[in-house]
Amino acid sequence: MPEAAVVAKDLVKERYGRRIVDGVTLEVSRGETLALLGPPGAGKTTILEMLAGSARPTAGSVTVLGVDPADRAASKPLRRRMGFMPRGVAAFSRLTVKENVEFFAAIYGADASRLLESVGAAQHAATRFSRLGDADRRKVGLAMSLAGDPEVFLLDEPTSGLDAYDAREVRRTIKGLAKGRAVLLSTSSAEEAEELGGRVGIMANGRVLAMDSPANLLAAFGGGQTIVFRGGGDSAFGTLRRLFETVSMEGTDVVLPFENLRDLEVALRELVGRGISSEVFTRSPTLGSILRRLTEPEPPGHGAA
Amino acid sequence: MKALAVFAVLCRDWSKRWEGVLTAFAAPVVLLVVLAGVYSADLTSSPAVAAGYFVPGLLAASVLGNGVLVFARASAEARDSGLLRRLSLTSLSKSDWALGAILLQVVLGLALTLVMLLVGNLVYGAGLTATGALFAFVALWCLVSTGAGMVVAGLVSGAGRVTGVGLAAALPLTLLSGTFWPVGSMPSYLRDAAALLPMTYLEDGLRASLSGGSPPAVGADAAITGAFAAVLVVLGWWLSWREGAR
Repeated sequence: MPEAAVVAKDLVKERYGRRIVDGVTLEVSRGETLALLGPPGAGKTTILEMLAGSARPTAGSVTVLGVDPADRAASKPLRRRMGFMPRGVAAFSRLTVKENVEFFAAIYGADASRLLESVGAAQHAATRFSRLGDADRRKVGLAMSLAGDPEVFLLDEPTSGLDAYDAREVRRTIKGLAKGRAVLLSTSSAEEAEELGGRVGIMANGRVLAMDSPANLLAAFGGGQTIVFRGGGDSAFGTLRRLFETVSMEGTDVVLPFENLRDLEVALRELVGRGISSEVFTRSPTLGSILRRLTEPEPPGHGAA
Repeated sequence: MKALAVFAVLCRDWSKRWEGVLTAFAAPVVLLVVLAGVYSADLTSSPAVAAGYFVPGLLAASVLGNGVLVFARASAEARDSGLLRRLSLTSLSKSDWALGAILLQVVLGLALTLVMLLVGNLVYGAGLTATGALFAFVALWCLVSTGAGMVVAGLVSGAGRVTGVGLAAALPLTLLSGTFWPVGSMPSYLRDAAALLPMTYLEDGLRASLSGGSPPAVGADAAITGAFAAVLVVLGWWLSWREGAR
């Protein structure tokens, strides 16, 4: 097993009497990407802050490349070996992209042009930072974070707020940059976690509920295919609940585990007979459905028996 | 080396702020030309004497404005946007940041000194001489203004408020320290207030340097200005950004 570059043990963080991170243990090895997936407020960003050294754990321990990042003196050499991209990309807004990246490059003795090329933003070199679109800002943020050629790369919600096309482009860039580094990213997008994370930790309320490869998570928590009835609402749920104990609601969708065609036929006949119209389709399990199931409380009376 | 990188980036940022260029160069030069002309016509016998009086005061006011208005605002914007926090997670230290900022203010201050001497001599024939003591005083004052800028930016939240507080600090200093009229011409209670202000000693020192004043008098002014510089730079450095974990 390769040596872990990032190790957090029983990590706890409390702020204003509230427990934000509650006993999280994780490891990230070189060449591995771990995605922390969870809804807002799950504690993902706070974990990254503790790993980056900007927040001190209330309890538990953190080491990054063998050093406690909260120990300012000891972690000075670590700052060169660790890159952190916070959620909002901060830069000198009046300066051009190249001038901004040159500053970060000068701190580490790196080549700004190569950094811009590595993130696919060289064509924006002469553009004022404030005039960049969101996706390009993220790319510039990546270039700044990579100036020290870090061995450990922390990314906080790297594509939040981007449209699907831009998010895909930024993810593609991150994928290329992750090679050989220990990468830990936080995200609330199951698609992103699945695409980037060799392993995914599903989080809610400061805890890691499950952590494994996407394939193993799907096998362990995904269940089989499900039949989704969309648009029937509570009346569809009530009708089907009388026939199937395993029926449940996800948001406004009524969901029935798919076992055989006979069940589907019975369900449809019952709904049509009662004049309840629904859009019906089958769905394979995804990280998104696992995330919802593990993190969203079921509405009263809507749980599967 | 990292301080030089800070100097370079702050210099670029400053050059793209119209208020920076205005405060540092345009305003003092225009004021010098206008005030020396007006005062020489109405109040004093010679435009050269008037120019000789206004050069030190306007130099001091401009350097102060560059620190507590322009640099303080730039620092507050960098803090508000999260840039300072981000920098605190790199291998850049806040000493590098402070040193780079001071270096920029010193370069701007010394450049303005040359410009003001040039304008005073060319336009009014003031016969002002660039002396080592003059440049030393300007450099000390740049430390005071940068330190004060860091203190204002560190204590006041929001870039807009920083400008307001900077103005509130700079205006009485400029009016009471002999920039536009001699401190001796003010009522006694204002003279007492002026005696508490570092800019009063700076302007005394600058005028003494220009007119070849006695070393003990210039030395006392330099010591008081230097003491203010030391206190403000240390306080500003401490407030500039928070290092370490919270």
